[in-house]
Amino acid sequence: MTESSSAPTAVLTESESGPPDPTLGIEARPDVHKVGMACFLASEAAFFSTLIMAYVIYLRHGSHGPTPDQVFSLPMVLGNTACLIFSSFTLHWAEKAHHSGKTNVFRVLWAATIVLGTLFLVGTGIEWRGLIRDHGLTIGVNMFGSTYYTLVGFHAFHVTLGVIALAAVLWLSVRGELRGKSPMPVTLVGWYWHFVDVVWVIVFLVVYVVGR
Amino acid sequence: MATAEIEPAATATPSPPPWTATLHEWLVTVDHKKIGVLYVLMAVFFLLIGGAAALLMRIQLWAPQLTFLPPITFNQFFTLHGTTMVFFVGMPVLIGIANYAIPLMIGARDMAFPRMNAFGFWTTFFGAVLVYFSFLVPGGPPAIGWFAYAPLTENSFARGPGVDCWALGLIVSGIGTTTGAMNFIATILCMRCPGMTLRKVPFFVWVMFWTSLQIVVVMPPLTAALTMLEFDRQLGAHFFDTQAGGSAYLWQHLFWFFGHPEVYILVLPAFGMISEVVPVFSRKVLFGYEFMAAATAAIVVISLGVWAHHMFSVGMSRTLDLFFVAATMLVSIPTGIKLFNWLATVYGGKLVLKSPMLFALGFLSMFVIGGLTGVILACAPIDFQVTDTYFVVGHFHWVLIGGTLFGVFSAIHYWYPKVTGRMLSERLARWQFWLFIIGFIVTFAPMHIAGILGMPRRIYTYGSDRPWEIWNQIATIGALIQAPSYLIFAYNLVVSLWKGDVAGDDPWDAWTLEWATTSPPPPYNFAVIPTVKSRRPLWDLKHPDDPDWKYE
Amino acid sequence: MTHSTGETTDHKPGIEMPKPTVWPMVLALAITLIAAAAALGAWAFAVIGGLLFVVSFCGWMGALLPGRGHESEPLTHPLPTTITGRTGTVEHLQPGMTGYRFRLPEKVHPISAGLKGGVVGGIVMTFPALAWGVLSGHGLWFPVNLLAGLALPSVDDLSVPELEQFRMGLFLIGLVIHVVMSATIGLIYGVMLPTIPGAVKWQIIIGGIVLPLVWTGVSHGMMGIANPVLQHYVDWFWFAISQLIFGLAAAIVVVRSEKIAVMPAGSGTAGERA
Repeated sequence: MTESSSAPTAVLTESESGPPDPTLGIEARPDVHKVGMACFLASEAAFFSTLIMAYVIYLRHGSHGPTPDQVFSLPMVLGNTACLIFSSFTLHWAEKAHHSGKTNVFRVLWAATIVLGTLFLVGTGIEWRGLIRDHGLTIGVNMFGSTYYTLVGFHAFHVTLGVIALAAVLWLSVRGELRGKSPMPVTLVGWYWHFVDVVWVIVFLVVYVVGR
Repeated sequence: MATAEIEPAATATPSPPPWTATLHEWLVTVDHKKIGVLYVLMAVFFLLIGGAAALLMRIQLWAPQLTFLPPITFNQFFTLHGTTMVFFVGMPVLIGIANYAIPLMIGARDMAFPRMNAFGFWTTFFGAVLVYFSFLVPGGPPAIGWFAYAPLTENSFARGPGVDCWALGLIVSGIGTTTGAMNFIATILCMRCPGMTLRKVPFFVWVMFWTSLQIVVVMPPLTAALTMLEFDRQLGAHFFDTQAGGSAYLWQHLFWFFGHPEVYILVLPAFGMISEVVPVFSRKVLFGYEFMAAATAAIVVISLGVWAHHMFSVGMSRTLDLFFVAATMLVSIPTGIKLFNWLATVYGGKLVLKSPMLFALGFLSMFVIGGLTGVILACAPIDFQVTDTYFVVGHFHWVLIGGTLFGVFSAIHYWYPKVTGRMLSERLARWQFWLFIIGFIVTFAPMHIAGILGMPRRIYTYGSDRPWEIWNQIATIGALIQAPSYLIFAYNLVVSLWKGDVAGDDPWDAWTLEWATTSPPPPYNFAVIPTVKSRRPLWDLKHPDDPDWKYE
Repeated sequence: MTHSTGETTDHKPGIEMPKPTVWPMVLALAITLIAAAAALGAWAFAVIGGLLFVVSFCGWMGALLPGRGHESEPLTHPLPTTITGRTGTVEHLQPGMTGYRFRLPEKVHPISAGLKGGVVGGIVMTFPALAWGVLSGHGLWFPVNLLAGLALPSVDDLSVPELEQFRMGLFLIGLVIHVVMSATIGLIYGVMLPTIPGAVKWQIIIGGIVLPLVWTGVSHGMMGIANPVLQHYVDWFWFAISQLIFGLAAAIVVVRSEKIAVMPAGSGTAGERA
């Protein structure tokens, strides 16, 4: 501003920072959407940490009702886990396809991610039906039920939101709205999905491996 | 200097628009300035409500065995008073002021996510409405205290839906607070004008950045804890149900893991505001910016590890007690660094004793006392004796009023001319200040003594054989002295809109970017995005022979 | 801020700003209604809230699509007044002014001087300590085991023969305590000694004799609380000797090191002239 002879800096909109003036040696600004998503994921991490901590604290608390080692069937859960982990790979490949402009490959891989996520949800539903019907494990039966359904339920809720967001991106892609130079929805939804997967890996280790 | 300013365009406007149009404009706005004003108005409104509840409780405690308020009402009032002051006054007013000031201070046109900004305000507001909706439900508002210790909140002790309104209202308004914090982080990281590196942001901006990080980390655990509580109440889970294996102790840990950083969330922005006001009204640069910046980061990090000093009397292990005593003592070091830096800024300065500076000096003198009683309480053996007494009540009011509220008043008196284009009345501000500071001291100083004499907090009355009556009467008189100061403040805010002197762009001859645009600023803030070279860009412009960037 | 009026926007009709929208408010209302439904068990609220949620969320996302959520704000608002410079109004700190450095030294020892002093002092003080261990018949490892008692309460329970043996854990703890304390006091000496007025000999007298005597006295009073086992076995004469040797060595190393000039804090601006 001291050099009033310089041309006015370009107009800033909410998504772009001003073009750096080379004479000033200004550092580049990070992308707002990525920063926003990172903050959101940080808060989600804090939220899930609390639920996981509560699960661990109440592990083997309480004297009655079903316990983890009585009710879990590992094959079912391993299948679920494989779906979710594999979906991270399909998502990654989809992003690469998007970057290299292979729209159709992108859509197929992206749709595969949605299918795998849905399979995970269906698997969780079947598992819960078994827990409730065959083992009588409900949220009110004992501390294990309370913490298990809260933790796994919130995770499944996030997977559901993720599937909806993935579907929305696919819809945008089919309508041709993603064609421009804005891969931002793809990147951000991808971050979210990977995050949900990582949370599941931790939940899986805590609940089904260590906690058994 | 710029006070000799011509009348702004206000006189040129034709007939005022119909009130429905104005209402519509405010309901749909995504402008950070309007949203900031909405936040502050919400806070002032709830300040008057929460203050009225406090005044009624003080009257009830005037003498032993009064029946002015029934016991259940008293319990409901202190629950709502605490909840309101923390969630619906403290946080909204700080977030609101920051919302208004930060884009202007960093030379941006709006926040990073303007719609999410509006969403943040409305969730905060509707969350508050939901909490107050509990007045209309069977059983009335919750009577659980603002930290809602389990198992008082469980179905067996609180049957009506009051607790549910409270918990879900806090979850909803917590969503708003968290999105607001994310917005600040993205704004400060990504929207700074050219030349403003992270080391050159105004100090208030730096502080809000760290406060926002803290909100993002500690708000979700509260949401999780409140969700567990609701699962207990609505779905029959047992998280905090002590009869079925749940743990009241876990609630305390979860609540205070949020609750103590919350105290810093409430006071750090006030630190930032003071750090803007004190230099301008001392006509000196902020002393030790780098040390202040590092101290802010240190407070944020250390304060994440001190929460269980609220729980010494629970009977934790000796090791935990020692850890939390030491960690708590540690926070006082960066806080002390800040205090000395403010004093060094004032020292040798040419003080301008206008209303913002009066409140800033009130802050400097009062906050240090609150901090010192905090150090006293941090010693576990003393805490064993005085915890849950009026000593604690006196202490935290001294911090939150002596710290946060003085800082907020200072900031409102400082930025009001920018927001409205009019000056607040100095005369009314002085009346407010003196009634406020005298009333404040007279209210809360005796509470320390009543506490040492053993008066527990939250009792609705006491026996005449106790030595507490005189201290309660002094405190009530203090509350009656304080009360008009808030009314004067509200009156000043309203009446100065029409009667105040025209402010001009830069009434305080200040140095940060918000004073480089008009008062009030246009919707886009700056017609041309500024470029800065130092922490005080306006100083550089005003003193071209000796700019700051030579020294930074 | 360089509003040299007129240069702003002759080529731009206005500034692109986000368009006001009702959806954030409706979305907040929807979430609150759903929460209220859960609180009150009034599921009609949930239905309305759910509908509003879907509508407002879709509306919001629609505004994010390119070209939908923005409008052009015309540049019709008045421009701020240009800020003018006032030359010659800045006051610089001068010797003799309030705020100019008048007590602290203008040259200080580098931080390494304090560390070196601490290290040298820490090494030489082990000789009297070990000498006491040998002369008193307890052996070389006795002093360090006693020192470890400062951190490990379990040392209180050890018998004298046990304390005389080499114990790896106690040795390491004792070593860490010794190194940390020596380095810390050395650093303090590095900062403090130059502030002592008068000739260099006063720095050596105070750092080498007075201060060690002071903390030996304090230790004598406090040791029963801090480290009962050491209090029980220590010989205060030898204790004082080793402290004095530490102090002298550290002080001499510090005062002999080369001083470096520091930038005076008084450079820069003091403020504005009234």
